[in-house]
Amino acid sequence: MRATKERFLPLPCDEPWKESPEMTQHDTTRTEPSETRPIVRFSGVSKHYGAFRALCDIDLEIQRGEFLTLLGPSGSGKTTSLMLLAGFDSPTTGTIEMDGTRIEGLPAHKRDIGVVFQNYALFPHLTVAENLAFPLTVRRVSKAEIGERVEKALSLVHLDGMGGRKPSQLSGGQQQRVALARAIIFKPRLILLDEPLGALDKNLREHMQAELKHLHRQLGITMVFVTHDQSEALNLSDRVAVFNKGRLEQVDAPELLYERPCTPFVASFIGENNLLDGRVEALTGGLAAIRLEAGTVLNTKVAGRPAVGDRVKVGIRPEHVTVGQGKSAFAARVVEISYLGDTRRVAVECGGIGRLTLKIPTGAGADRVGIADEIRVVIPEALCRALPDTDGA
Amino acid sequence: MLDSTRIWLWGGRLAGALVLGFLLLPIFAIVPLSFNGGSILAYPLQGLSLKWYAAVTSTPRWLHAVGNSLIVAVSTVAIATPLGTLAALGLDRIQFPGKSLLMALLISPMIVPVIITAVGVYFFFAPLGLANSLTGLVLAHAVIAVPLVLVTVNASVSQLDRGLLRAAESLGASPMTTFRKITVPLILPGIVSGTIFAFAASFDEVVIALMITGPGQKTLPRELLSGTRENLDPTVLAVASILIAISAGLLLLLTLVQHRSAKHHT
Repeated sequence: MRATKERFLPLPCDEPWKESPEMTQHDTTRTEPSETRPIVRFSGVSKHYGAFRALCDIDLEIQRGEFLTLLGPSGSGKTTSLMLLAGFDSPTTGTIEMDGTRIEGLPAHKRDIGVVFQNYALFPHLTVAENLAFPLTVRRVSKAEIGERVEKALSLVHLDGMGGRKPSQLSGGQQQRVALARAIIFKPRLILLDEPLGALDKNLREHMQAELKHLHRQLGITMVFVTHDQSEALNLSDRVAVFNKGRLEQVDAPELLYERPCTPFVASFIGENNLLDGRVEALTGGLAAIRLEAGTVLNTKVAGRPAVGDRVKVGIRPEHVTVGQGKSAFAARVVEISYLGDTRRVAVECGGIGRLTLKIPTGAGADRVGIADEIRVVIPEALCRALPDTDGA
Repeated sequence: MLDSTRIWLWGGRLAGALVLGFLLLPIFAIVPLSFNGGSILAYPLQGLSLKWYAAVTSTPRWLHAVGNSLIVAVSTVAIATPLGTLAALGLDRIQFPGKSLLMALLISPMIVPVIITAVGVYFFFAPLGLANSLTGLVLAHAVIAVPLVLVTVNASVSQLDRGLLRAAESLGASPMTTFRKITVPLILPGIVSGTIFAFAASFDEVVIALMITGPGQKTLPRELLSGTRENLDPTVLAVASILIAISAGLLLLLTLVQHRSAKHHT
């Protein structure tokens, strides 16, 4: 294996490190980008607006054909990353490569990237069909082929026969589909979606999520989706990149993000979590003995490579803490109960641990707790995770 | 019983009607007189006749004036519309210190009294040989017409959704194509309105015309002015009525354009 830098010199035929059987069969395809190489690579990308650091040193690879979601609160840098990739802005430092070629200086109209905008950005003076034909017209596709492809695209997004309408005559959901069809119709190298479902109501949003997923599977095209909605991200994505304050916190499959978060931010942003302050007391194998500030020592799994004495936050999901007996159970007093239908969220003050939130499924027997009740809770140490306390450092 | 809101409402309507009457009555007084059968500029009419209109079309100096006015107005529009439009687009796109100052400078001919502009233009043009020429008049009219185009196009451009331009770019359109296919169609109502204003401003203009033009370049308003001073006959009223009709037509066109653009944006 060569050094990383060398691998991405713009010499696509010089790729001996990945010999796919296809490539050895057809020598002519050797100039084509390898199917297994990431389609986009951000290396050390930063973007500053004056003193404001919108993005700090982002390294990110987008795999060919995947559905990648950029997730984070507003102002976290996810949309900035998308704008840099689309070509509407250029990074302050760092490089962006697409198919092995640097594109930081390439204007947006030469990138061949489809973008679906938050407010759809349909051309109001053109009909739906003319909107869809626009990217083909500027590529000088023949009239006959344009007509054919517009029809196909309309039926792909279930808008057959709507080609003659103006965007203003369509509902929000329909406009959304037109925007999607317009971004797909010219067969771009990848599609960027900037919070496209944000303006839709809940039912329609769920419906569009399902359609988007279906479309991604059907077309096999790479999609990069920006959202601040974590459930949307978990539902849609092959992988999720979590942004916080201009930094990339973690990139992983939804299951891994939820089950093995690497930072306290990810642990609390994806789903709910109890985060308990503590310090590493001892390390044995993959486990660490963490002394919580409230005094108790928990033997937990660790994220990253903490050293003895490091400050950590121990994450434990509310649904993993249970009411029960046993020698490992801790005495706790109920301080707050919220009824959520399928579950009760119960906050307890736990001796030697601190404040904990539990989720008790309705009808599980142990759900009849009242405020100020003295109960015992079990904390399964195997499901606890010690995370590096980056904020406290 | 009348409550106070209704009093205000009807009071407002009355005041509005009075102002409208004040503005329109002179016009309504002139138009019927141009159809007068007699040659006295007074009511009652002495029968109806089109002879004064016939006199306009058969008098060389009126026809010459109409021709001059049309040439000047069309040339003014041809200069002012592109300049005003480009200025509006440029000022909208770039941020720089002194931008509002530049904007104020560009629209100052709208605020400065026309007589000042006229005198200034005269002293500037005379040594250049542009006085007593239609070219000079066109240039001077362009100066007062550019701000009208700039202001109307600027209003359209500020309503233009930047996202649409980005969308066009992302779909593969070069900046030039984006300008032609997206920007221009969307700000066209502003450009058309500006053009109408520029045309009307030049077609009705008399102060600069008095300063710059000689006997050979008399425009319609100028001929009208000398007509009222020298030989006051109903021909002047016929010309005035024609001017009113043209202005009303332009105004109607403007309303239509604005109505259509309003439909676009909803």
